[in-house]
Amino acid sequence: MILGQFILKPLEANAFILGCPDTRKAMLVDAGEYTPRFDDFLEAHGLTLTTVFITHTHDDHVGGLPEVVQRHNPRVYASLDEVNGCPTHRLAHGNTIRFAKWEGRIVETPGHLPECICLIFPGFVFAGDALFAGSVGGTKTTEAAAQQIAAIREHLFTLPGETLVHVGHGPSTTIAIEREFNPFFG
Amino acid sequence: MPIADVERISSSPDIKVGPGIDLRGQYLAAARLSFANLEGADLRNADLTGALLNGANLRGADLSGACLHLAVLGAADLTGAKLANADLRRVNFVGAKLVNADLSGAKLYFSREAKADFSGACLRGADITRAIFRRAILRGADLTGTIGEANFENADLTDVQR
Repeated sequence: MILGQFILKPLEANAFILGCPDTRKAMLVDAGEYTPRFDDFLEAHGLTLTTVFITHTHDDHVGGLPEVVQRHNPRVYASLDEVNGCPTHRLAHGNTIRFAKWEGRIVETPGHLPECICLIFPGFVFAGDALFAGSVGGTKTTEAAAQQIAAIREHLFTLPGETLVHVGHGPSTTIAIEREFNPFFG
Repeated sequence: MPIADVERISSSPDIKVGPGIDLRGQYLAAARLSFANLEGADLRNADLTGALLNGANLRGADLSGACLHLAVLGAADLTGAKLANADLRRVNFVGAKLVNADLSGAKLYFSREAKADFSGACLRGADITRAIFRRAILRGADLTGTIGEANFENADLTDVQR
């Protein structure tokens, strides 16, 4: 596995490029902006961007999607039919994505936005703005906050403790660290 | 200089480490060192960008001047460790133990310290801009001359020096 983490200018959001060393296919997770570093990374590893996965539709995560689509024409997955003017393949809870040699599972984690989704691969998760190291995504209502906490408990905290969580802002973490120390869970 | 801020390659060989090991100035970016025993290790000026050190034993280790940008140190034990002038931007210290650690002059920009224990730690002159010490313990810590605004929501600031 090849994984690049990029800190983008809009609100210091993270984007990730997941590459398969066998098929040389790559998936971009979120695209808050287009940066030539994406292309440099793909070229450096001999990867072709075939897939984009969008965790949620805030601009700091999708602002660069149109340019990424224009340059690479990837298949875009999201939980809505269209994101920032780009048509997508719509995903819902329980759906799977086959990417290279892996199969990823979609879980819905509404709260930060109603359409927030996470992508779970064996051993690692792309959690967007649902869960952060020592925190959770901001929500507009107490109901949304409760919904988010419940979804994280049910769909993420039930994963093995060593699972790496790659988040939308800041450093990565693990399920074990968050289960034990995240202040939003007691 | 890698193109990405952190580059993780799963085919990279695991690094053999042990207590007191000398890794001064070594390039260890994205190293997988979760739960490793690095007690008393010499990691001065090492590049540990994005390293996985969750649950690691770094008691008394010397990380002065090391780069730990985006490293995962959640639940690690850094009791008495030296982190003076270290690059700790966006570090994950959630639940970590930094009792009596020396973080003077360190860059803690955007780092995450929820429920970490900084009792007696020295953060003199550290840049704590946008760091989040939510429910962290800072009893008797020295925050003299720190730079920037951090979030100390529900933190224990008993006897903190400011």
